[in-house]
Amino acid sequence: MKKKKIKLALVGNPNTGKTSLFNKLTGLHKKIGNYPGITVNRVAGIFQLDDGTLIELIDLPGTYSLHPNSKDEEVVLKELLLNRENIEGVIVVADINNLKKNMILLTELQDLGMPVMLAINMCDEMKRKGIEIDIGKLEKLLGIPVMLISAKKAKADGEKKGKGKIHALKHRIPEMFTGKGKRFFENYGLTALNLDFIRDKIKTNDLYKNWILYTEQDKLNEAIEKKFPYINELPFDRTAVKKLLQKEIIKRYKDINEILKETYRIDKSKATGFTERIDRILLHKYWGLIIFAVIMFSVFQSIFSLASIPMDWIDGIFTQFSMYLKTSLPDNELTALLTDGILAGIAGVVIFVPQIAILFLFIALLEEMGYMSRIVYLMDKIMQPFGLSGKSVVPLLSGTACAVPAIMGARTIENSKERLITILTTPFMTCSARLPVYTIIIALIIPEEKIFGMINLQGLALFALYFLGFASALISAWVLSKLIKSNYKRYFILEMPEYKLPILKNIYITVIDNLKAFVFGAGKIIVAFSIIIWFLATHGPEKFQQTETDIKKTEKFSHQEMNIEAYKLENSYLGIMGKAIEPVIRPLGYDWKIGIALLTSFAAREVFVSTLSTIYSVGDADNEHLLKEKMRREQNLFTGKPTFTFAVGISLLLFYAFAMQCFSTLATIKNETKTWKWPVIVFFYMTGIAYITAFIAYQSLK
Amino acid sequence: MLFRINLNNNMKLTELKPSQKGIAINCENSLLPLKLMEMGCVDGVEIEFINKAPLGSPYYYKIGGTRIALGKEIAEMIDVKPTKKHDDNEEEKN
Repeated sequence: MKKKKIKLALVGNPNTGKTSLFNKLTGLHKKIGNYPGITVNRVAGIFQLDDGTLIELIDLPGTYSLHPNSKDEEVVLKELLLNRENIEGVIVVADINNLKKNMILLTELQDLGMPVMLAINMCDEMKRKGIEIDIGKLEKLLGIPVMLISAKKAKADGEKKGKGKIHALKHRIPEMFTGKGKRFFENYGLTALNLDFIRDKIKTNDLYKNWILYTEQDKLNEAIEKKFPYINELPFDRTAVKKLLQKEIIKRYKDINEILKETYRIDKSKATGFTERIDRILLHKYWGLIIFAVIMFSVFQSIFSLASIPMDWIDGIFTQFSMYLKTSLPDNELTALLTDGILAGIAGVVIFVPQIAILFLFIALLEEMGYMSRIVYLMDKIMQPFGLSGKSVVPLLSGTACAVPAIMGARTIENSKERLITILTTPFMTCSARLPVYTIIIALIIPEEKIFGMINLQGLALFALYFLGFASALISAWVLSKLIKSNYKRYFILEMPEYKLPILKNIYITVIDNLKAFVFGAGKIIVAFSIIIWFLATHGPEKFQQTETDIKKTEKFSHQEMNIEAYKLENSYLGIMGKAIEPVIRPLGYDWKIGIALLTSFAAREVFVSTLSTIYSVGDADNEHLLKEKMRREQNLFTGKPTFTFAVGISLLLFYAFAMQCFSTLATIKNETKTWKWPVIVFFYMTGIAYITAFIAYQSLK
Repeated sequence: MLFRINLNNNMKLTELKPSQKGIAINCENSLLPLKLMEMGCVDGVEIEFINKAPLGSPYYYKIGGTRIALGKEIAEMIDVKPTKKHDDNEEEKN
């Protein structure tokens, strides 16, 4: 009887083109989620066979074996061994250049009794590398279907017309359920010492399953207690077990060698050592670092300046559209909600699209070409002491443009602990939205002087703030790496993939996938937040509604319009909240006006400047000179002294350096970690540090 | 270099010169992570040293047919028997 839907998993070593094959099989029809409790993406897609059978394919993280070395590899073990999702079969992707190593995982899966199919990728390279392979014999020896494919050259194969190798692979899927795969483990005789005690409880077929349960019991605690309690009765000696596991690998290699001796030939004289030669330059003592710096600088420049062009367009289009709606629709509450609330919120989401697209374009390009692993290699020595991956350099540097794309950029980090720490610390980096706040406050409190005749004091202050952001990111990473527990010891073993020309389709898919994840994930939260803030800033109790009559009674006509805005903001719900927090922020040297600006900063930090412009009735929000003058003259009601003293300025700078004031960032953290726990922790942690440092600075300087 | 004299000529993986090759002899050592063996680093495999990261670690090798970068602390635990081409005689000439 034919089933309507079959659930399969795609597994394989890293760098085997597994994701390329996944993209080729499923196209853009995929769902990206998270595995519960960890920052590892769960990617699933669907495709159909000609006979109508639906195949749901789950792309599992890359791994070398069922024995995990990190949380993401643990996903593979848990999904396949405990099979919570009812995966019915596995497609193993292998690299034709390194079949031997790839087959360790294959033989393990066969021992697990899973229906398996082997897809040997990169067959387009066979001729060039002098590789010959006897597929028919390989199938016979392994007892499973084996296919030669090329995820890269699929188009040339005429895949669309249903002739290509990937098409053929799809249609051999049913075969993996009919054959009888060879078992390896049962001949190794390794379990004798350990599993003999429970022989009666194990079915012969499940021998290897129990062996894995036994050897990986520390990672499978929960399942063992519930379903396999007898495992806990067995004595466990870590060193002895490890020795047995090592023996197992030796035996597997012996079996694999036997099989490949008859089926696989490689002409070693054709090896060019191309990748190694490139690496001697790209990883050179001096050149390596210079090239790396140039690449990082281009990424940084692009998300900073290149992205600003489409960002200006988006800004322009949304402003125009909003104006158009305002003039053509009746002037009422609903129009205001539509234009200033909803439309502004959507604009606040779309504005991030260029930066995310450009960052992921670079990330995908570097990943496809094989350079990402080199970044890890070059940067590990610096990042490792802080519990970060070498790859964390990319999100951290991107964070100086904007934390939103940067946090998403952490997706490229496989290790879930390192990814989480990168996500949580990137918001400390000085993003471009802090810049307008920094410049106006620095201009107010730091004299425009030079020291030693050449160093501009204001510039120095700005540099110090950038450094502060970077240092606090690293220190927090270090603290978090001590706090977040992991079962895994960190050591550095990394395969360096071959350099390759990028597959454009893969880059396109990466960019689209990540844009979708942002727009439909974090985007929804951002729109909701901005509507709330808009509502709070434009609505208020009784006094708010009487603004116009109140102002007309007291003010001269010429100032009315500006003062109406200020008066409205002051008496809006947000204004009331700003006043309400005054007692809390007074120890930092702030009054309620700054309090309101702190609250509106949640929409985006640079809103601080325009809010102050409104409150001080500057009229033209872009007139920074006038705003500076007003701020300089502003007096504190309680002390009668100027509000923006040196102490207040420093306190504000520190507050903006540390505080988590950006709900787009919080929404992105929620979207990446799939829980509100981490954004809440980040909010209190960062704002807590901000409060304490600003407090100390103000109290000691005033 | 007296302390270097060593009857069977074995050395740590980190002591190989660039492009020098050696045969791994103690990979089945319970201190080493299993992953290393899974990736093909088993006794008898030929290892070529390619280069060292600019900051001093990791080290980059070709192990069998696979290019693998290893943290210094891991590479130091692996011993190799250098193959003839690049042995100590050549070092003396330099």
